[in-house]
Amino acid sequence: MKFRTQRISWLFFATCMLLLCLQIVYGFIMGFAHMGYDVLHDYIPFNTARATHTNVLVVWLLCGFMGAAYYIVPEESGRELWSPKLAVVQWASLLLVAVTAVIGFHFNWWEGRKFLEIPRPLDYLVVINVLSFVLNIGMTTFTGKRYTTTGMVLLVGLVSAALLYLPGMIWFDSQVMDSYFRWWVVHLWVEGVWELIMGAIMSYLLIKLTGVDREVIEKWLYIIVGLTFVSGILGTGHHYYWIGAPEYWLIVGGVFSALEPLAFLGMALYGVTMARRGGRKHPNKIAMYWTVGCGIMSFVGAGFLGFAHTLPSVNIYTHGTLVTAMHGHLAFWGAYAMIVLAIISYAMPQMTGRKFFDTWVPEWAFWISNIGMLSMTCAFAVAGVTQVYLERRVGMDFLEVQAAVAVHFTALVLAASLFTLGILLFIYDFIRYGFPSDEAVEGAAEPEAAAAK
Amino acid sequence: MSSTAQTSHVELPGGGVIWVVLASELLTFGLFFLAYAAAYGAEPEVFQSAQANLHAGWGTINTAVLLTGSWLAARAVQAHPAGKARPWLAAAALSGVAFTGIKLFEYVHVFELGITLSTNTFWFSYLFLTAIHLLHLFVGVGVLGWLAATYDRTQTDDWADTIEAAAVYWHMVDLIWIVLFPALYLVHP
Ligand code: HEM
Ligand code: HEM
Ligand SMILES: [Fe+2]
Repeated sequence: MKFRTQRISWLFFATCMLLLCLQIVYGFIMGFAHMGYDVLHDYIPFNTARATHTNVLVVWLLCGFMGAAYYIVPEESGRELWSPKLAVVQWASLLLVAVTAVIGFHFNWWEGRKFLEIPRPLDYLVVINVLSFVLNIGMTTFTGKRYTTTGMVLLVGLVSAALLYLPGMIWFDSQVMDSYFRWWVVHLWVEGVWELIMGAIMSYLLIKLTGVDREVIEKWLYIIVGLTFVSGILGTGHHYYWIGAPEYWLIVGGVFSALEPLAFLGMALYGVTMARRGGRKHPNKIAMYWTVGCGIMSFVGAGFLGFAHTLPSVNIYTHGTLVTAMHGHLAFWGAYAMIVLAIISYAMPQMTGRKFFDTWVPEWAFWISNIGMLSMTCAFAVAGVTQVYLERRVGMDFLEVQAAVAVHFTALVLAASLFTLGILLFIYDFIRYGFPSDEAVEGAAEPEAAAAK
Repeated sequence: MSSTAQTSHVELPGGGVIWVVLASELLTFGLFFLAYAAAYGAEPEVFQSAQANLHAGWGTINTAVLLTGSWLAARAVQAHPAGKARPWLAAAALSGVAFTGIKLFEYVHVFELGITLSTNTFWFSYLFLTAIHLLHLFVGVGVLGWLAATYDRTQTDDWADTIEAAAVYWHMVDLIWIVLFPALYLVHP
C-alpha cells in the first residue's frame, strides 16, 4: 500500500463479506422453498426473500467497486484520497440505507421492480451517497499527479453507473414504459458500464501481478471498452422482446446482444494472455487465480450462457424461467463477484502487511466456491430446461411444473452448500488478515517483496 | 505508437486496435445484412413497394461523395511524410459533411410520407441502418476534422499511425455504405 488512506477500502470490503453472507442465507430460504419446505413463509415470503437476495447482491457488488476505487484511485493518481472523512461518512450512510431497505422489504415496503426494489425515498439517499463518492474519487483524480487509462476508465465507469441510476427513478404510469427504462439501469449496468469497471480493476490487477508493460495492458482495455459499447448499448433490446416495446427490437436486440459475448471473450483472452506473458512475478498467486478466473468465468456465465438464450427464437421459450436464473448466477458470479474477490485478495496483504500467500485456505476457497457455483449452475440448468419443456412445450400448468422440478432444488441446495463452504473459507482468510496497519504503508508494497511469513 | 520497438512483426497500417474495431463493425453490419436479406425474402412485395419511394439518384450522388472522401483520406496518408496532409484531411472531413447534408434532405422526404421505424420491416431497415451508418460517419468527420485542426507538420513520425488509423476507419464507413446503397436502393429480385 502506497498511501495511508487506501485503507478505507477495508471498511467496504468487510461490508461485502457481511452482505454476501446475508445474500446466501436468503438464497437458501428460496432454495428450500422451491424444494417444498417454505417454512418461513409467514415471516419471509418468497417475494421478500427474492428481493433481499438480489438487491443485497447489487449492493455488495457496488460496495466492492467503491472499495476497489478507494484503493486504486489514490495509487493511480499518485496522492492520498481527497477526503478520507467523507469516505467514512459515505460508507456509514450506505450501510444505513442498505439495512433500512432490507428491513423495509420484510414489512412490504418495496416497489416490485426486479433488482431496483428500494422505495423512492431511499433512492434519493442513494443518489446523495453516490454523489459524495463520485466527488471524492473525482477530486482525487483531478488533483492527482498523473492520469492513467486504467484510472480514467474506472472513473468513467463509476460516474456512468451513477448517472444510469437516474432513468430508473422516473415515474411512469405505464408498466411498459417503467420496464423499458428499468432496463436502462439493470442491463446498461451489467452489460455496459460495469464492464468498464471490471475491465479497469482487471487491468490494475494485471499490471500489478504480471509485470507486463502498462501500455500493452491498457491497449487491450481500449479494445474491451470498444467491444462493450458496440454491442452492449443496443443489446438492451434483448429485454424488450415481449414487454410491449416496438417489434423492431426483436432484430436490433437479437443482432447486438448476439455480439455481446465478444467483449467477455476479450476479457478471458486478456487475463489468460497477460498471465502467460508475465509469468509468475508476484508472490500473491491467489489474487492472480481470482483475476484470471474472473475473465474465464465471466465468459462462460455472461458470454456463453447469455448467448444461449438471447436470440428471440430461443428466448420466446426461456423468458423468465429458471434458465434465466441459471445465467444470472454464473454471470454475476463470474464477472462481478469474482472481480471484487480478486481485488480483495490482492489488497488485503497490501493493506495489512501480512503475507499469508502459501497457505491452503485461500486456494481451497477459490476452487470450492467455483466448483460449487458451477454445480449450482448445472442444477438450475436442468431445472430450467425441464421447466421450459413442460410449461412452454407440453403446456402444463405453472405450479404443477414447479412441483415437478422441485427435486432439482435438492441438487441446488447441495451444490450451494459446497459453494458456501468455499465462501466461508474466503471469509475466514479475510478475518485472519485482520485490520489494515500503518506499517504496511510504502515499504511492503510491490512485486519485489518476498513472500515473508 | 507501435513502430518503435517491434520489428519482427508484420505491421498493420494504423496499428492493431483499429483493425479489431473494423472487424467487429463489419461483423455487426454483416449480421444486419443477412437479417435484411432474410426479411426481404419473407415479404418481397412490401419491400419493393416501399423501395419505390426512394430516389436512387440521391443515393448515387452520396456514393460518389463517399468514394471521393476515401480517395482524399488516402491522399492524406500519402502526403503525410512530407508534412502536407492537412488540406487532404480537411477535405475528407468536408466530404462527410456533404454526405450528411444530402442524407438529411432524404430523411425529410421520408418523414414527410409519415414513415416511422415501425411502419414496416423495409422502413425500419432503411432508417435504422442508415442512421447507424451516419453515426459512424459523424465519428469519422470528428476525427478527421480534429486531425486537420491540430495537424503539426513537424511531428510526422508520431502522427503516422493515427492518420493511417483514421484513413482505415474512413474506408470502412465507405465500404459499409457501398453494401448498404445497392441493398436499400437498387436490389429488386
Ligand atoms: C456480466 C454480465 C451479465 C450479467 C451479470 C447478467 C445477468 C442477468 C440477469 C440477472 C438476468 C435476469 C434479469 C431479469 O429477468 O430480471 C439476465 C437476463 C438476460 N441476460 Fe444476462 N447477464 C450478463 C450478460 C449477458 C450477456 C452477455 C448476454 C447475451 C449474450 C445476456 C443475455 C441475457 C438475456 C437474453 C436475458 C433475458 C432472459 C429472459 O428473457 O428471461 N446476458 N442477465
Ligand atoms: C449459496 C447460495 C445461493 C442459493 C441457494 C441461491 C438460490 C437462488 C434461488 C432459489 C433464486 C430464485 C430463483 C427463482 O426465481 O425461482 C435465486 C435468484 C438469484 N440469485 Fe441466487 N443463490 C445463491 C447464491 C447466489 C450468488 C452468490 C449470486 C451472485 C453472484 C446469486 C445471484 C442470483 C440472482 C442474480 C438471482 C436472480 C435470477 C433471476 O433473475 O432469474 N445467487 N438464487
Ligand atoms: Fe441484458
